[in-house]
Formats: sequence, structure tokens, C-alpha cells
Amino acid sequence: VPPDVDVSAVADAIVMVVDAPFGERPFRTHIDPTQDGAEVVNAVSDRVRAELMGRIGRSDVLVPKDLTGSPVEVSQPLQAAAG
Amino acid sequence: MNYVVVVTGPSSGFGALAARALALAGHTVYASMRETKGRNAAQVKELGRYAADHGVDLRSIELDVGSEKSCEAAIQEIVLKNGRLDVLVHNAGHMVFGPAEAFTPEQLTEQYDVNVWALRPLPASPIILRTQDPPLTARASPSTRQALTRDFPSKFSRPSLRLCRPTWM
Repeated sequence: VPPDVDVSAVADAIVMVVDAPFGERPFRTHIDPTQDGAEVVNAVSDRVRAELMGRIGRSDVLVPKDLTGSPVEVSQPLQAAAG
Repeated sequence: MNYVVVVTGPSSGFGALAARALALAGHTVYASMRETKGRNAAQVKELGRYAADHGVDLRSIELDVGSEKSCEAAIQEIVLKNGRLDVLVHNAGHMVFGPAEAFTPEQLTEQYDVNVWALRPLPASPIILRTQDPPLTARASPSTRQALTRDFPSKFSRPSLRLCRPTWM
């Protein structure tokens, strides 16, 4: 871990995710000052998973739903964010 | 928007910082931990002091993530007091370092229990699904992809968690 990293970056990111409006929260957020490769691998993994969900007819799980069960518009769909 | 939040593993590290940051952001934060009247009594006092000093809504609650009974009791108390529970920041976990040969199978199993099975989305999930604002879960999750040999016990549990909770990790 680089010496100048601020440990509160993780807490700040959690607050950012919680405070983001419904439908605009990112599916995944990385805080990785070591750059151990997780961000790269997860991008591939999320894209492949999204494609699989599409192929088995479950792309409905890739977007959040409101309390009535209706999918909401998302600013960053999983496929687009991962791709 | 003010949310009712539970942060597991708030005694140190990312959890401690996240609980305080969420409270400062205006949310009602329950810092959940074991032994609030025992070995973590000092933590409870410290959280209370922080809440008073900063005028924020930061509370402690007894919750053992490895015990269904304890989870249910804590979640029930939170919902009774607030009518809802919106956010679960599931951060609890043990860090144990050393080569694989340094640990007994029992120690590894204990580590796995805490870091993998205890992190299912708690009995809170059905309650979160019924709340006014749609559900949200968040979790600090290090080391899900890479493992170094010296970190063996902690690091092998992270990829496992990723596999058994794919929607989380």
C-alpha cells in the first residue's frame, strides 16, 4: 500500500454510495490503492455474468426494482458499466 | 435522505471510519458488535462520546453476525425503534496472517465461519425489502481476487465469499 494513501477513502466511498439516489448507485465500487488487479478482473467477470444473465433470460436482475417490482431507469446499467 | 444504517464490524478499521462518516452525513447509524457490555464496553463508550461531541445519531447495538438469534434480536430492536432499516454495511471479518501450515483445520474453519458464512445478508434482508426506500446493501470487501501466501487464512475466505455471494462481491 502506498504510504500517502488516506484510509478514510473507503468510508467516503461508502457514504457516496449510500447518498447516491436510487437507480444511480454503482453496482460495484473499488477503492484499491494497491491496484492488485481486482478492478480489471471484476470488470471482465461482471460483463460475463451480465451476458450469462441475459442468455438465461434473467437480465431483469441487472437493474434495481422499486417496491412495486417495476424496474427503474438506471444511469449506469451493469453491462455498460462493466463493458 | 436520512437512512437507518447498520454497520457490522465497527470496532476498528474501515468499519469504525464508515460508521462515523455515515453518522456525520446525517444518517442514523447502528454500530453492531459483540459483547457491548463486556470486552467492547470501551468501544460503546467511545461511540457514545463521538455521537455527543459531533451531535450525530450514532448508536451501538449488540449483534453477533455468527448467531441467527442475535441477528434477529438486533434487527427487531432497530425496526421497533425506527420502523425500518434501510442500509446494511456488512464489514465484519477477521484478519489472520500466516502461512497455511501455521494453522490447524479448526482455526481455518473458525476463520471461514466468520468471514464467509456469517456474511450472508443477515435476517435483515426481508425487512429491508419492506421498507419505504428500496433496499441497499454495501460492503467493504478487500482481497477478493488476489491472494498472497503469507495472508492465506484471511485471503482464501474472500474469494470464497465472492463465489457464494456473487451478487455481493
